[in-house]
Amino acid sequence: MTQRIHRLIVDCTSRLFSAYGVVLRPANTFGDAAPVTIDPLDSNLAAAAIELRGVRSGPRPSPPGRLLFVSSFELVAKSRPPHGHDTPLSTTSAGDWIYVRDWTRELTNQLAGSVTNHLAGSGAYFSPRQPAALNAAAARLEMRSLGGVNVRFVSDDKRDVYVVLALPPEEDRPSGARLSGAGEVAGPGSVVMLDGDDDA
Amino acid sequence: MLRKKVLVVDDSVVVRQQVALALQGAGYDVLEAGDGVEGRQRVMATPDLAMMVCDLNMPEMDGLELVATLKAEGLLTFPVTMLTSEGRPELLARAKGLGARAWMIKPVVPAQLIAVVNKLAK
Repeated sequence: MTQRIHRLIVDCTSRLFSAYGVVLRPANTFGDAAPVTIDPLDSNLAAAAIELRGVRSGPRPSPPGRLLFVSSFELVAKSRPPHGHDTPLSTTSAGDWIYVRDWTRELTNQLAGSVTNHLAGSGAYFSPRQPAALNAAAARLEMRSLGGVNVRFVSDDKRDVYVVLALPPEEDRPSGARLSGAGEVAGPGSVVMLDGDDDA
Repeated sequence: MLRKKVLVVDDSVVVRQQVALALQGAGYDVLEAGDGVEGRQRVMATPDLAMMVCDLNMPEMDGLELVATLKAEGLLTFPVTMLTSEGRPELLARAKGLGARAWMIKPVVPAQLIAVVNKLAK
């Protein structure tokens, strides 16, 4: 199960960042993840966490999962989509930090969406909540307490990205999570015309 | 000739900028709102909207709540496409039931976005 989650993190994270022009390669294989330490005073860190609420389909509430994304100001800034101007972002600008935190939250939200869409394809349903941006101290606490599967990536310009995904044990999943015929979900970048006309 | 007005509702300023840049380049006027509550206010203040592009997961009022509210209030007089990272079938079914015309999965692909808006904008 955790090996499957490791592969899921690698696939979803690599694909998401590739869509924004950033090549990420996993720096650890399943089973050799080193403990991640975050300097609580790291003023360059960009991080966000998001709760993945289990979709209730049985008599008892489903336990939530959680996804943590940790990187740097520069990596997040580099991944921003076309924005109509070429002004570089600066760590010394409060306005630029607001912008980078916004994009860190959105990246985490999109990563959570990709992960939960894949999980839904195999019959496990989670609904991402609102992501929250974290400072280094909060990210450190989250990293230490989260458990789950941890994957370290390195970008082509040698910047680190950490993604941690903690899901409830399989036996605690809602009964509906194993419903047959769950159906495929729409994938990243796809368009579904809801009135049945698919030629957009 | 007046440019058609498209409302973009998304809590991420980066996504709103990305969508606005694409649609403005395709000849649309773009209005922005950061959540469902602000989106509803924009709709009420803009009777000639051609279309709404709406995120799902937002604070205050999410995208489907916004569409449901607009429908209940008789304000849903324009096509809607959802633009979100989620793709669970029951969400698509709910959106369809509320009258949304399309569901787009992030990351935003500008050419696809423009094609959908060109097709649906009234």
